[in-house]
Amino acid sequence: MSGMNGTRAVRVLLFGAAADQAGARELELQVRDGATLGDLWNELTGRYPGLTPMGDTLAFAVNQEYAGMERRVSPGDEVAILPPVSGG
Amino acid sequence: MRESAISHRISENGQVELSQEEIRRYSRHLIMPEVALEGQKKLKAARVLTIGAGGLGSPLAMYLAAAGVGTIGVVDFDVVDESNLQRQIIHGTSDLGRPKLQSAKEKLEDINPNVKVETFEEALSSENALDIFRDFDIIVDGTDNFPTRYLVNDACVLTGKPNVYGSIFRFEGQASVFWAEEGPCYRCLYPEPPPPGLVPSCAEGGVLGILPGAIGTIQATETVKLILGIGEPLIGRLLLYDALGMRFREMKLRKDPNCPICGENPTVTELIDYQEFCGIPQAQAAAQQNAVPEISVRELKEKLDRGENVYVLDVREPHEYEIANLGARLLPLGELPERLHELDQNAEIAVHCKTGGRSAKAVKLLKDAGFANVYNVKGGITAWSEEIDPSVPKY
Repeated sequence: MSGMNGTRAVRVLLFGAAADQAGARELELQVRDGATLGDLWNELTGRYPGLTPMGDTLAFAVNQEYAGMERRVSPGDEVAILPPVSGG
Repeated sequence: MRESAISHRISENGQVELSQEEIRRYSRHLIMPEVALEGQKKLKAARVLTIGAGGLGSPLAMYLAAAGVGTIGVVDFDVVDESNLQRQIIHGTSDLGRPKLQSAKEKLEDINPNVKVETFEEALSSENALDIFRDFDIIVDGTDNFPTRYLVNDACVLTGKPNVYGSIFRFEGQASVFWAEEGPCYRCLYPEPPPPGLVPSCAEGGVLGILPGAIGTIQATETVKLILGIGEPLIGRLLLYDALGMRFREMKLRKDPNCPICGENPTVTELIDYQEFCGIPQAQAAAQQNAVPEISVRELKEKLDRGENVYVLDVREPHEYEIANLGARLLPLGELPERLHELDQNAEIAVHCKTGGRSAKAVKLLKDAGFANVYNVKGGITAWSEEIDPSVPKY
């Protein structure tokens, strides 16, 4: 499946401190065929190095479902990146 | 949904009856078949523990009291501070300086004198958590720090209690029901705590005052549903609330078979040291090792009064500068690396922020860049306001 302009984009939603680090709450990333969430994360930290130290503590979801780094991501998928939140 | 195990257990807490006054009070519940007399009695028989009488604990405990939950336990050891009042609606201006438990108990008993309020004026710890949790049916997590969140989770798993979870940051909130007997726990979602300082607290990052109202009432709703055994609980789902976009999203969670506490071969079988687990002592030791030169606000004042040539640098954000400033040069920490050339390497520079954290980072950065005579103003503009000039607003 390709986007309208022939791109192959995954929609990435960032929450809380991850959004602050990236300076964006929502962005689109191109992915190769067979790309995994881990590949997408590498791409993302390449672009926003400030995210790197958060890596181990983030939760990821693909299409509203909790997912591990080995999970495949395809164009049209929605990836959510959720840092832990402690405030009460 | 089948009647939940908790709802069934609560029915066995003992026979309760409703007085005429209670029947009048709970009329709007009693006329709904989902609650009815039987459900209202379950609410009265229920024992719910809320951890924290702060932002989340306020609306949560108030609604549980109003709804007729028979026993509400509250754990807190704080006193009411002015900066609490923007969101912690269980406390009022006249409660400033009082223990939060006192004002919370009074408010809850005023809302509903039928409720028994049990107070625990202590920090929840690995030593007391299991004993406190044991006597309650449901635990509601309204704490404000990671060590206590992991402690609440683990103590709930070990005692088999549901953990009605909520947390908040700026304009965003999360809620779920972590109950290892029925689904994932908090560690299945977040196995690794973030290193200290990586994820800001509400004190550091701020929070919309209304936000805990939204999340706390979701926690109260989930608690009442569990007691009544109705509806679909948030077990295995993380609800995300974005107040700015005014959107709710949901994320399906899964129980991690390798979870160290609720998985198939648990390695955590008793409560541990959660400060250590969250890396707090390690971070403090590292901070001491990387200590930067410091100056107290009094020493800085004396230097300035003596007319010494000290360049004062403020590394906060412009919107903070607008609230209160010392007339110093503003250069936000995030922009510092690219703007070093604007500063004189040989000048004596005193760096301040709100309380001293960001300015310590700035001093480290400047020293690494070859600035020789630079030091951190201990306690930041807050200390200046407290010790030197109270006309500088404290925020």
